[in-house]
Amino acid sequence: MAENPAAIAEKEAKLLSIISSDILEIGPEFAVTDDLFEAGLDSMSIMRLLIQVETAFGSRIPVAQVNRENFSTVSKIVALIPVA
Amino acid sequence: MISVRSLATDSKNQQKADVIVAGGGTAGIAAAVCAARDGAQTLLIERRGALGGMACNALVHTLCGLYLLRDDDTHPLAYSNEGFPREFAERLIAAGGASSPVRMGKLDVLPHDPTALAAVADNLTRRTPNLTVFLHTDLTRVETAAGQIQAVQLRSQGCAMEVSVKSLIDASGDAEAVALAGADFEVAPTDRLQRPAYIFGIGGALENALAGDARLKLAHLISSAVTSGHLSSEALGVAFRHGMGKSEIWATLDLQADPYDPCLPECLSRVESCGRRVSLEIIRFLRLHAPGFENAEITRTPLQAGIRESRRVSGVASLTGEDILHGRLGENPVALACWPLELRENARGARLRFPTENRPAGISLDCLRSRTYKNLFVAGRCISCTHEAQASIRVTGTCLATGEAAGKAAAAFSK
Repeated sequence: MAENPAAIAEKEAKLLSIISSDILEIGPEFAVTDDLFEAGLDSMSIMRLLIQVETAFGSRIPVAQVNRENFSTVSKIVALIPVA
Repeated sequence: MISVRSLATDSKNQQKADVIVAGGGTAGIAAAVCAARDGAQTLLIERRGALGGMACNALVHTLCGLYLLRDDDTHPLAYSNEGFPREFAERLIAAGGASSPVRMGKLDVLPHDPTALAAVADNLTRRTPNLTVFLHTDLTRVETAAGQIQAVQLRSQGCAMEVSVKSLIDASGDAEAVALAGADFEVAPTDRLQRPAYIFGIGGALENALAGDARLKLAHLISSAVTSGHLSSEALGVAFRHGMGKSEIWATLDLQADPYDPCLPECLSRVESCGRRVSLEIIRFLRLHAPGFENAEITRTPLQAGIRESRRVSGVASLTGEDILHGRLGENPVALACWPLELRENARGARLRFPTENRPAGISLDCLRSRTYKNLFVAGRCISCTHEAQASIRVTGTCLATGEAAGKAAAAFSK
């Protein structure tokens, strides 16, 4: 069942807030569709991102879904988080 | 006291040198060779058994800051400092100790082999007239009088020697000569100091072990293992990168190391032991769980952890982070800083701040001169600058450039 747009937007805002406060140097203008790798996401910062996602959303993204394309934007990462 | 045949003696039969360079890292190599080429009888001392400093003993494996910044690789690559830094890079490439520059994100670096870098430095220093190199030698005392350095005491293998000197270059990275002389220096608050890295080499992994999305999948494996308690939390500071050849992988483990004070032996001891322990945990974990790492093993361990920042001399002038970010050339720069501010105040990866329009910043000779003693010069990562600027100037390319400038200035002062 597809998640409703309001719930998705809420998750995106939450993840963006986590990333800007703890993972990357991004300004308030950074959008959920902007490229995270361009903004400095790398293999070290993605480790903390994965842990933060698990803590904040209560579920772990499977290793099979970890690739550059899936993690390129906040929106795409949120789409990987299993619906509770 | 021991006497050394390669050093001259003065009328009182005391050994003497025009210039002593303390510390044989890239800054010290450059300073010693350039001072000797300008006619100064020069002695380079190094505590460990190889020249190269961080770029050999700590297994730092890329030379950074050698090239001017550029927006993309459609712009031609150009050396930021044409003198000794370019010469040294070209010697390294010619000797097979470095391949060719590599674009990493928005930066150009020269990957090198740490042992080969030391061998190139051996060869170059051995062939340089007026230059003597003492490995396994430590600076133990700096004697001053009338506002100048007069002599230094050295120690090697249980023997002490005293050498009178016309000028001293501190290329120790930790401003050790500055501290021993009682000259002014600064240190950033412990929570802001750039964190250390423990670097180790991995052999035996498959060539495609880091290909495609493998680095990201490794990150997933390691973070899961940390969450489940199978790996220490320090493993979250690790990053993997290929060496000059695909058969070698470098693992760089950034350590938080709190409470961190790189001038204290108890802290350094803790850093070294933590790095060793976690490196072994990581390799065991990779062999069991990471595709392509089944037969991997640690092939190189560092002689010391990589220290990024400790003391900085208080100079006649001081370079600031704003100088770097605005690409201020200043009057009569003696070296150019061409690396962004690479802040690593925690073990969670670098924050990079680039200068306006990628412009280089000028480093003046006054940033390489102690404000306390007029014949005390400084080169490398402990020159006179702010904590922020140090995050740019600490890289090897810039160390080669400040070393060259300090060497020439010290030689001129000694005449």
